[in-house]
Amino acid sequence: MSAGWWFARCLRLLPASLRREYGEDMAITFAARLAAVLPGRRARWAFLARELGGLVWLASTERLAWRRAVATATSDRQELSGMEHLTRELRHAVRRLGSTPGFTAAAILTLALAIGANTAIFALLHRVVLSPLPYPDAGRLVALDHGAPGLDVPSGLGMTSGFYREYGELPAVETLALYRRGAATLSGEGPPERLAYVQATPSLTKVLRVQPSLGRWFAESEGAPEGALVVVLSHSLWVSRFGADPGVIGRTTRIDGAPYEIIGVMPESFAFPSADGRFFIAQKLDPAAARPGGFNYEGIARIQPGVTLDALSAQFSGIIARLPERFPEHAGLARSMVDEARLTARPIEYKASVLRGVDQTLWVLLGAVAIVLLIACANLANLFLVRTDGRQREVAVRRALGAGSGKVAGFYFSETLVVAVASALIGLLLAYAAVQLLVARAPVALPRLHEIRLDTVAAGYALLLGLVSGASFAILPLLRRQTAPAVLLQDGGRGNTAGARRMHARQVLMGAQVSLAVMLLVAAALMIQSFRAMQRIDPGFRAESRLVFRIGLPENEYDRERASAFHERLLERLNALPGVASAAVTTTLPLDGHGWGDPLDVQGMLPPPGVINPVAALRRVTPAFFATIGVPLRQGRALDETDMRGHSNAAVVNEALAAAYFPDGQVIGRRVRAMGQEDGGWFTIVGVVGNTATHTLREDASTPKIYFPLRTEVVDGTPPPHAVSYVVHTGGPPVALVSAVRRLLDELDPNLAIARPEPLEDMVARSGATLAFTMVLLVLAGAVALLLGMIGVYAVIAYAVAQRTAEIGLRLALGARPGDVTTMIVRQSGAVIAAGVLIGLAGAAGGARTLGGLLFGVTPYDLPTFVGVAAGLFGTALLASWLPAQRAARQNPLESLYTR
Amino acid sequence: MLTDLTLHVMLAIGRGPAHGYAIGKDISLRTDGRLDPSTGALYQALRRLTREGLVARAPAPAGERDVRRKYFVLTPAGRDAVQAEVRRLEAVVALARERRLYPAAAT
Repeated sequence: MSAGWWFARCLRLLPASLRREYGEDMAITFAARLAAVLPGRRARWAFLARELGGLVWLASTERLAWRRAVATATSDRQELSGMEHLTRELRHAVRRLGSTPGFTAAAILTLALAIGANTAIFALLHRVVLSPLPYPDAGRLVALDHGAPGLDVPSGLGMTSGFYREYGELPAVETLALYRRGAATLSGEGPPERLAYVQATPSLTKVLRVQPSLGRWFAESEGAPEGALVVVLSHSLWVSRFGADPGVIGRTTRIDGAPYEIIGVMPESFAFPSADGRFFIAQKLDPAAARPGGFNYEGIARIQPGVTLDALSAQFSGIIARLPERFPEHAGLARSMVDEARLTARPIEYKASVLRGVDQTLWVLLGAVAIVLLIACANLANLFLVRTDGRQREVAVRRALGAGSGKVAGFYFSETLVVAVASALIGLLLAYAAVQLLVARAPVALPRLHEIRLDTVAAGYALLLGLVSGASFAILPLLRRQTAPAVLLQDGGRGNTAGARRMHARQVLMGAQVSLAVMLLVAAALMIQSFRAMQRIDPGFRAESRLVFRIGLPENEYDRERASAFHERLLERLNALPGVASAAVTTTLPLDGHGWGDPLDVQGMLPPPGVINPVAALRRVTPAFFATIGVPLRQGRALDETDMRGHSNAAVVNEALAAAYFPDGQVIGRRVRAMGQEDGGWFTIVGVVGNTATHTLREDASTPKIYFPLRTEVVDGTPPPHAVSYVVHTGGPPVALVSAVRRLLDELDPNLAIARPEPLEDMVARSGATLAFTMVLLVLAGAVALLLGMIGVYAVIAYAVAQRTAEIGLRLALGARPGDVTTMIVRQSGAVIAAGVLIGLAGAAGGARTLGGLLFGVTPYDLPTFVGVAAGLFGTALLASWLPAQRAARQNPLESLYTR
Repeated sequence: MLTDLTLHVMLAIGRGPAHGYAIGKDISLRTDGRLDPSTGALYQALRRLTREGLVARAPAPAGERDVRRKYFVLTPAGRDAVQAEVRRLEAVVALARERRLYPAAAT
């Protein structure tokens, strides 16, 4: 390229009128001056730089002056301003698109669906994962956790009052707070309600840096053991129960029967630690009574700026090492925590503890919908290629009449711009609907659900996607070399090389679509397998036709005797309800977590020094529990009424406990007790029952569990809990029972409320909800990708066949059999499809690793899945190319030769 | 008032019909390279002057072989404008001499 050629290109910067008038002359002058430049590279470059600068200056000043002139003066010039030109071009584009409604609807709908899906997932990701938590300087918030590798509990222990006292003195910690979640019955004004609450030390608002929107938060004194009973309401409770009355401050309400003064209302946006906490009460701690043990709390700290988690861990470890000296009055316990349990501090970023790994799911889903968008773009690029082919003559006429390439580009871009913007807008509506549905129905317990909305960032994202994808398929027709108008305007104008080039571009698009569809389908197939593996899991109990609910008895009204009498009466009446087969009580339901737990001592079997027996989950149940929830009895007998009345020290264990404690198989008749309960009696194991899921369905190993009769007083030194869960086995739909249960409760004690009544099946479904949610979305994305991909293959082959009508006709006329023609076409497309499948498999293998944590019961590189998807897609794609090939081969050779 | 460049463009054209290249070369030579407009700047000036009616396009002289070349001449209004500008400069020079800010004429 000579400098003169470049100069001519740069002249295009100038306004058209100026270029027409002087462009040629300027080029001549430039050439003459260039020839006169002093010899030497530097002089030449200096000259070229100055020339270019002059042109840019000329272009910008002239264009500005010209726009001003148009704006102020006339419209009688035939020149249009850029804006006018654009609106005219867009108006024409809308008209052209309107004349092909089928094409336009297909294009806009395809793109709108893809953009909608991308925007919805992006909105989730943006609000849940990318946005900082709604607390000032939230990056310095740390969740305090501990693990005990020596007890096989790597993390999740939480905090104790002792660590609260000790960590608070560290220089790295600015402030910290303890809290725990619970449920209590709120009574007083209105019907009693059982509500989730958060019990926190007064320091919580200092850690989070938030203030109540009404009234005040707890004073330090209210966190002391003898402090006043005060409650702060959540915004939602304030609205629903107190009618958003500002005069609520100072009033008294009853929580589990005790009077509490309402002192404040939190802001609407406040949702700590999650949105379900309805009110806040002060955690009362006596610093003098702080204990190193008793991991009954969760902890959160605000650390000093610049402190890393590693540095924090190191400081915490220092404290743990000195635990026996720090707590001389609990030296024995402290020593065993350090030496045997090998207690370890596990501080993590608070946001990570809130997200619970949901970010991985969202990133995977964003990747999936991005692939769908890519396939949709490939399809549209294809559609527009075909469309521009149909327009070549029109464009040629325009160019012959003097339209520059800018105008021609405008011609192409205006249509895609209209399609892109329309798709982005419709996609935005779809995304809005999807996000609303998701927040309302919340198929998964998404963290920060209340913060999710379609904001301007997401709207901008939709528009950006629209413009980028619009540009991507507008550029393709422009990239190819332009055929001279004269050639195109000749009759027929066929057989030029540009046609072959464009065919090549289409095949690349087709291969890319196949690759992308393979990647997505492999992911979807892996998720389906995980889901099926999850469904095959036996949770150890029967969930169908079981209703579960929880009841908490106020401590100051129900002593042990009254509580057990109450449960007995309620069970009796539940059993009398029509349709009820049986009912039972348990302290902790399956899938409801670990609950209380301790290592057990076995009579006559001392563990070697330094070894602690496995932790057994301690459960209390009524006799009918195993039969009601469908846990099978394996050995011995279940608990009975005699045990219930406290006349025996019988206990039942599950198979995991039997295996862990009694590898010799001798279980029945062995005597056990919770570790450290030397003054309590021994319990005799009378039966072994099946294992049940503890936290989720996808557990690697079953938790050892021991079941005691509900009334048992001494199990681990704590009295029977006041909140218990009921299971009712009924013949009909479980939810139909809820109102009957409420009525029964009303008769027994109108101040009580049931919490979370739900079919047991819902609890089971919730356990697999994240997986099911990911699977459904991935399968949807995979299905859309498959459909769009196959439409793409079909379109490319159909178009190629149409282009070759004459050739095929000639072959047929010369004696080729239709079968030969079909085979020829399918074989040619088969090569492209095979290449696409192979590339897609490689991509899937690369991407499968990111799925790892989401999968269950299947490896990311599951060979049968890869092979199956590859074969299935290859077959489907071949079919999609066979259909048009078939049709072409059946044409009448004479007809096709004449029509061309 | 004319800018330095436009005045010099007009002075260059004053000798008779001139082509863009010749105009640029003339300016560069007469100002000892102080003014050496880029092609863009040169044509911007020419276009402005043409629009204001101070310069007009002229037929190529008999010897020109490249028919695409455009030639420019001063219009009567252009001559007036040059005169007015030079008169203004003269007045400026006279004033500067009177204030002894500029050496007297050698004559």
